[in-house]
Amino acid sequence: MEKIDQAHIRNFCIVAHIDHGKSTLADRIIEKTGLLTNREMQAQVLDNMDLERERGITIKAQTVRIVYQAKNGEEYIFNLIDTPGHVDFNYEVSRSLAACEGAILIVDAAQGIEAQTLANCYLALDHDLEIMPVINKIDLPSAEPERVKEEIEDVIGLDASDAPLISAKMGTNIEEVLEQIVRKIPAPGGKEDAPLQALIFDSIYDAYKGVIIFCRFFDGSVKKGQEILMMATGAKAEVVEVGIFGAGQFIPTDELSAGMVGYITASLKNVQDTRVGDTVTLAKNPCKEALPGYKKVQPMVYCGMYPADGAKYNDLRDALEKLQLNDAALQFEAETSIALGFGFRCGFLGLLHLEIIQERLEREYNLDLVTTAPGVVYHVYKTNGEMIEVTNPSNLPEPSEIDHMEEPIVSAEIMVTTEYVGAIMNLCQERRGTYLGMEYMEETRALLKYDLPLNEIIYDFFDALKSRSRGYASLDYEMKGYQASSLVKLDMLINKEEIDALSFILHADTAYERGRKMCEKLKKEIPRQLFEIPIQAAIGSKIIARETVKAMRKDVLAKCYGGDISRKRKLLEKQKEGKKRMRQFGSVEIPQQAFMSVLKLDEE
Amino acid sequence: MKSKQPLSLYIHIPFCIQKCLYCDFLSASASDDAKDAYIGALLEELAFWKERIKMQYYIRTIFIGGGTPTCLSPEQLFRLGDALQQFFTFNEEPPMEFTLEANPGTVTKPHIQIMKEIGVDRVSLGLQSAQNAELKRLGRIHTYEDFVESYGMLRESGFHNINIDLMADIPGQTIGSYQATLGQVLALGPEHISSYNLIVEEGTPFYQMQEEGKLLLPDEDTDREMYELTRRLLEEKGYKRYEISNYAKEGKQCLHNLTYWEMGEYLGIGLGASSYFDGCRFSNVRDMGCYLSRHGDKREDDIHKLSKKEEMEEFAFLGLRKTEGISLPEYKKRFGVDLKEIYCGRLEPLMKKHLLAESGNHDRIYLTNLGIDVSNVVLAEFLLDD
Repeated sequence: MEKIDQAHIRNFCIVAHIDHGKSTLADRIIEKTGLLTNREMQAQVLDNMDLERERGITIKAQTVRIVYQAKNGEEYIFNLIDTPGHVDFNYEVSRSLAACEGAILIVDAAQGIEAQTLANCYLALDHDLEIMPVINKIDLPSAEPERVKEEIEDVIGLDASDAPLISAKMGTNIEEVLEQIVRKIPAPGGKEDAPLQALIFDSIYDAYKGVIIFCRFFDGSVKKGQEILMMATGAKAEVVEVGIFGAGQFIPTDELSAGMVGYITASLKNVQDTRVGDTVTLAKNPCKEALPGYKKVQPMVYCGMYPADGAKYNDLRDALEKLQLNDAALQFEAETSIALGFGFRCGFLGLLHLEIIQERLEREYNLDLVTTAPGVVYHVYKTNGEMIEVTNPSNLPEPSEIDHMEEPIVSAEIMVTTEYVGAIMNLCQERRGTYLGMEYMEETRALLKYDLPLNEIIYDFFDALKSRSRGYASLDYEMKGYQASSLVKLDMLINKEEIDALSFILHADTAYERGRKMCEKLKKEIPRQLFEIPIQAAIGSKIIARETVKAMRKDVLAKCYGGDISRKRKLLEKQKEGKKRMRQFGSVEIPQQAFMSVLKLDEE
Repeated sequence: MKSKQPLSLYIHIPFCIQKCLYCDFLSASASDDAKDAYIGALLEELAFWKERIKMQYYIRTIFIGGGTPTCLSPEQLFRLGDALQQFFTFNEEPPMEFTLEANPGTVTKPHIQIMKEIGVDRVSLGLQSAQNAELKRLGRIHTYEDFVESYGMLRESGFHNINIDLMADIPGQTIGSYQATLGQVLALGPEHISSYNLIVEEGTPFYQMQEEGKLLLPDEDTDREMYELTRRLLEEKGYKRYEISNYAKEGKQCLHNLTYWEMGEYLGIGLGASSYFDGCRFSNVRDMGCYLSRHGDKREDDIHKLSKKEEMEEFAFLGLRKTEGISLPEYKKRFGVDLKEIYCGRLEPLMKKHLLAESGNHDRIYLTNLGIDVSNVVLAEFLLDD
């Protein structure tokens, strides 16, 4: 392959608020550059996990290299680095941005600037990227491109006068976007003869190639056979292959050098060695210092995952290990629950990350899971001066040993139309938020700033936000730190026995309400059995709420339908099948469903 | 010569004047011509089976059910009865029991005359309730007075074995109204009483009403109270409960129904009728056009040969419907294994919870009263793992 000079390379990403059309524009760009024929175009080429396509969001950052014949007659290489669109994956977004010189900022012509538009745009500005605004969805009847242009200029301070007005869905005006990429986004400017310095912005595990590292090459070059060094993890490996990204495929090349985006496969066992944000250099001739910004990703949300069928414990471990190969942010360690048996305590970036892993385990690995209530990492200061981190409520020390506890707090920004400001402020108040301020973006929209305890937003905050604003509010948040708080452990007792898997830590003020709801929900979920079953919520030895599942009085088939006994058999088989989905606790049978349903207390 | 095996015969008459609101049996109203055609098809089916059973079997019981068999004209009933008499030529003696189901309001003197002629010796009358308001709510076409008249006619004509079908959990029924029904029925002194709890079946008008929240049924506690009341009042008058929903005076248990619960062999003749014959379970076609057009053999293709496991399961969960339960020696004789070994580890918890009990001489197990209340839970334990 002939060598491309850096002046003809453009490395960029697309940033937008969720659902403003990022993936659709990426599809159109790929389509217009003629890399794929129309027949090969599947909707949303970049989102290649089924789950991504179904949910319409991008989970893993993807990247593609395309060739563009510009109107000036010259050929350009575009490296389009797709970024995840959810706050859970903010760190991944920031690493993707660090790999680019420019960013296309998509703003929905009808909705205008949203919380993540701002957050992502500021993130891009932090990385000194050239920002190129694009106004999408101009085909919508409610589109107001001129108003949105003004908004971009007023709120962000970007010149939007020549922002392309496009409809990614209809394919309108995509050429203008491509031309502006050539004109506006700077070419990279690395030194090819300097020591290798490349940024890892993603890595995946491939069953055939092993670990594949996605890199942006800032300085130097690399080829097959050389020994590379990951500067943060210290891992060394021999390069097996280097190459560039086609759409959905890897194309090997001889060498990768400064300015380029490509992949490296090397003799690496797992993605743990190849942390996103780490710097790759050559072992023999390393660069002086690593690229800035590397962070070890820390899970923010934890929950227990147990196989519904205890015999599948090893299958679950294998599946988690495989997923971890692709997802350095996923953490897990074995744990045991009296109620649920052997399982794993798993750590995630956020609730969406948790849900995605859960769904992948169930779909791709065919596992039936019982998941316990998600929780955050609490800092527990003991009376002996020691501080421990607690991710599993069962590990909370005795109250007498606890001096005080701290919980993680996030800074949240909520963009909302003014008519719902009251409703959203109420919501934040209910969730123990601290009001920091409000800014008006324009007459009809405001940006609310709150500090919120993370454990108040990991359950259903997002859903509540949407339902109380009729879908108009959007949220962005980032970790702020820890803060002392009056926290208690709420235990659930079924038939007087504590069910450890149902315990969780929460603020003392909300314990009564939550305990009552838990009891009510469990009462609905636990079928009547041959004896009365008390359901209690307790803090320590104090019972704070109680419900009773009445004893079953009747489960009998009066008639035997003449000689047709097949119905009778079916009924009994159904009964037997139902029993299999139950877990036995002493003399009580609890459906697995009950463990999950108490996580969604606020649905009704 | 090897002795002949007993066989029970069920004949289905899928006709009625009007379908009740709770009924999900195969039944509909029909013209006289349609009924004639159906009788013709029944006779063909009987002839088909006669050739296959006459050497090895004798007919022990017959049950003509429905629908409403008395919906047939006396002539049609005679045609069927006459054919049955031809059918029995291989029997050395007449069957031990010949039941015909009848509904009040459809039984006439000529019907009764024919019933006598063709050998019916037991009549099952569907009353359901002695309260006319409840009958109306069920969509029954008769009143309590109609029933008393039919009952009287049957008694006058010398029928000494009569069953009355009753129903508990009727919408709007109370303990008081149910107790009144029991009292009125007991005053008549039938030999046999069945009392079924209403089951709302999918596809019935009641199901629809229930979905819409328009069906007000007695609650579970009331249901169990009615059930206990039935047992107590009937036992006081000399009726013994011998199956979950059946009560009889001494020696008047329904032999035909016992065949089902004891896994005796039976042939179901007629539309959609089910059989257990020669180790196989099978059913006839359920479509009338299809039933009429087939010659002789009216069975669905799906003839299911019971595996030994299935046979063992069914013997247990059907047999336990009887208050006397199942005989352990008989089980051993039939399957060559001990039931207690097969269900090792499963019986003890049930006995501990007083759902299942063992007879004093350890040769029978049976459901306790508590076990009957929740019998589905208990019987499901008798399904074996693959």
